Amino acid sequence: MNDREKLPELIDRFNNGKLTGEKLTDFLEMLKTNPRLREEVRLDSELNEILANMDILELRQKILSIQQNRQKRKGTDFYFFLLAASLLLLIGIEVLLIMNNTHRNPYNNTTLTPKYQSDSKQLPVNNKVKQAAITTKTVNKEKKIRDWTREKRLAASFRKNPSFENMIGSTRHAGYFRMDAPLIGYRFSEKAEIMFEWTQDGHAEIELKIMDNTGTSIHESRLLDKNKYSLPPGTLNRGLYYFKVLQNDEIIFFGKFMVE
Amino acid sequence: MINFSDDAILKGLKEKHADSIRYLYREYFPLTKSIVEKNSGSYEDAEDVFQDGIIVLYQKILSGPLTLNCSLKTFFFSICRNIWMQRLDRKWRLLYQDDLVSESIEDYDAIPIEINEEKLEKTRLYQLHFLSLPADCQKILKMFLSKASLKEISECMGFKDVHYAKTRKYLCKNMLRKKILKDPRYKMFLHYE
Repeated sequence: MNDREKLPELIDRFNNGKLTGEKLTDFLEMLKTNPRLREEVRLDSELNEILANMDILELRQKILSIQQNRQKRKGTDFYFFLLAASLLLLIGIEVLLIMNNTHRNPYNNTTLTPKYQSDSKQLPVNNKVKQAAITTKTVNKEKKIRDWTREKRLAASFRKNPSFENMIGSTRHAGYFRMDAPLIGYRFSEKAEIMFEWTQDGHAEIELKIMDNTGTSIHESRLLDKNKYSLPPGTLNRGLYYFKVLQNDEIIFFGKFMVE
Repeated sequence: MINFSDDAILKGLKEKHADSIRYLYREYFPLTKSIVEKNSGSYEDAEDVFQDGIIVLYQKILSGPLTLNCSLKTFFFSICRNIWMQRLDRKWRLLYQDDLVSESIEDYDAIPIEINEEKLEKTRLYQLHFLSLPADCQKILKMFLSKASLKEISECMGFKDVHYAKTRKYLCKNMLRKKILKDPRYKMFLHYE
């Protein structure tokens, strides 16, 4: 064993007062010339003093364990929050996409299929007469634009109103009230009579309000002692309509129908 | 959420109950963090100061009945602030900003608490390195520091003889010293002449 290997033992024995005689003299000589050794001896002495206090060491161990648990929990909480935020974001995007899709395509998610079709395909085009075809082409083009505009306008009149869609159905009502006709989403022919029928307790006055899909009021009636009401054929243009039944200014039923 | 009275915290800490330490963390750490962070410290500094604060409070409890003229919270923050200010001062980077510190800090200054901040930091550093040693090394050194004989250490650890126990003791102690000497945080305690 060389001097370097013996050093830890010498330091330990020196600090515990167990180094005597020639070995002590040699060690003191080494201390005089070796600052690094002096530092190690000092550190060893401090370690002996500080680590001997097991009580504080035990407390430190507990503090550290609590501190580490807190950090772990903090990390877990953060990841949980991140996950929840991501899910909410995804749901939000999904809702936006659905709403956007509903606005863009009125035929989406509805059984409504207007009978109206562009008759531009049925236009007679005489391919054989080229001179006349130029005029016919211009006329056809204008007609196509007109048809397209009309079709677009018609499609718009069937577009769902998201605010109204959320209100459809019965609401809580003190007495009994049931809307028998039209069924929600019922399609009336343009030439048919628009018939409303209901069943209710007593003979209270009800108010019937019809709105188009933009929310514009189209028709209003106050009805006392009645259980049916109709609008003559041709009163309403083709489109999607919403109606509400009110009693004492309270909505008791909200429905929709179409005129095709 | 359970609330501890000052007496209950002191009693719990004296017994080193984990619940009391957790309560201190929950209730006292946020303001300690604020004191340290508003005075040029980091989150890690705040954690160190908080640990040292608990140790000081524990030592005060052990040294005799603790009579407080203020709430325990005020007393504890006073300890922590004192530690942090001394630490800043020692590190020659005192950037004390009065305007940023909570208005109730003045109350903490009024409480005289004797703290050997340098020894606190050394204690923490040495103990942290000790706790990072292999379990058998910790056990040997604990027995050695509690004045157990080499024969006792040898029997308890199942070593073949006392010579091996002696060698292991020196090896573990040496390992601990080397770890500390290599730690950059130890540099500020070096006394090379």
